[in-house]
Amino acid sequence: MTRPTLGIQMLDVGPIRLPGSYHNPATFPYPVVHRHVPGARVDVVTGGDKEILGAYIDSAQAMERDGCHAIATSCGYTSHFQAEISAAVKVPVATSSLLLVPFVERLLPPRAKIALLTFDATRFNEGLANGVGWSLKTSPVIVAGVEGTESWDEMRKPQPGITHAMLARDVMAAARRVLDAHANVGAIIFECAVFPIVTNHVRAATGLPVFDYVSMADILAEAVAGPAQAHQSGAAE
Amino acid sequence: MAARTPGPLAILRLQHKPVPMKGSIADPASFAYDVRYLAVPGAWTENVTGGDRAVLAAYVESARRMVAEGCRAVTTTCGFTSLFQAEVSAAVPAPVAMSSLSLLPLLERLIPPGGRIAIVTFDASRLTEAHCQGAGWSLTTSKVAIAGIEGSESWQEMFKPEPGFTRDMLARDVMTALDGLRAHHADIRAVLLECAFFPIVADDVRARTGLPVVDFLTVGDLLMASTDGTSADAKVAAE
Repeated sequence: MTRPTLGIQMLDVGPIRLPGSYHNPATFPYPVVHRHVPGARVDVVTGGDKEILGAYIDSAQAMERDGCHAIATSCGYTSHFQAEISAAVKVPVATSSLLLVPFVERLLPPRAKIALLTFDATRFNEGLANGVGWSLKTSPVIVAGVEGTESWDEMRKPQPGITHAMLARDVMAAARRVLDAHANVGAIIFECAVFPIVTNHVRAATGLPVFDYVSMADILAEAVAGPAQAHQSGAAE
Repeated sequence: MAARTPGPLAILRLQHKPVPMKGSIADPASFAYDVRYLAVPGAWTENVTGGDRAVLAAYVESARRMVAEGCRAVTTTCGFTSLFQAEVSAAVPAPVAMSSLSLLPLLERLIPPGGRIAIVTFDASRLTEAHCQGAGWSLTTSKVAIAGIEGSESWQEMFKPEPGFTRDMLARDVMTALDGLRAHHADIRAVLLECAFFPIVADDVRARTGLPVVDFLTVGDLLMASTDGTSADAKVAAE
């Protein structure tokens, strides 16, 4: 097997280079290639604008032609494009860490809840869940977002200026709201691809398992190339 | 922030003598994190794949013991234990994935709509709808094709207290099962390996078919990514 190259379809915004960010190649133990999707601004994609689908398909096909072995995006709100993008290429596609919900649901005790922490809960809807094979009506998911926070403001700018401390505070505030309202939360899933910057922080602060965008990307890389190639250290660009 | 000392992954294994080949779930070198094994009393290939519910209590007790001793997550070495998923996950405060069959709902979304998933199992004649439902999906709604290695030399060896199959033997028997499925279904887009011995030959399957493959090692890695930290977290924690 050769080493897997993961293609990451990116929002049309400036990079966040903190450790744990998908813009930072060191986040992944395998090679990654980034490609901006023209017109994919945060407000457009999280607003559910279907017009942007064509640009995602074009970009995915270009990445496949360039030799990417699997494709992911950088915004979980593209989950409602999962079927269309995966239909347009031969390589496996993961639009969103929301794909992990049906798997995570089975790992937990039967009545446990999943805290789904997202960029903007007011923009989260049933269509995003349906796009990746589950429903808010039947899965035990509690959604909370960072809307209105400083991190949310920054992520909507062309050049986001977030810091680790800012994001940790804002994501933990959302986590706390869910944990205070529900006694039986068994796991956390991050929708937002920027949140892995604070995964370790949230895991330590809550004691809960946390699944995120990097968990999803790693599984994709392993599926196409095997764990030995995906996790070989040192050779990532 | 200081990184927490990660607890190991608990692997509840069958009583058979472990087969520590490269890529095997029985070889700690197959994992990027610590693992701990516990042989579940009374759990043998014959009765566990036969649907024997008498071993459920032993799986529950073994999971409790391993989590009490500091394990972060729990898995097994037999995909047929998906029958016990609900009971074992209910018994411990840690994520539990009894079977690689649990990856099916995730895997079926990653491939083009209409694509089929080939499941290669230890024994297709023993794999039932109940095993799939335990793993969170149904044969009636998911587009899969299932083949087993029943009757093969590897299959015979796996019933023995000291399985004596070789890597070549296993690769041959798994590929024979998979080739049969591919001959009948032109729409196979991914492969799921049910049996915990099959990761030994997963890279052969990838190389021969060019298809994405998930297996028991994928399950362990995904479980531990949620508890133990990904490469990204290690870097953040080191700051």
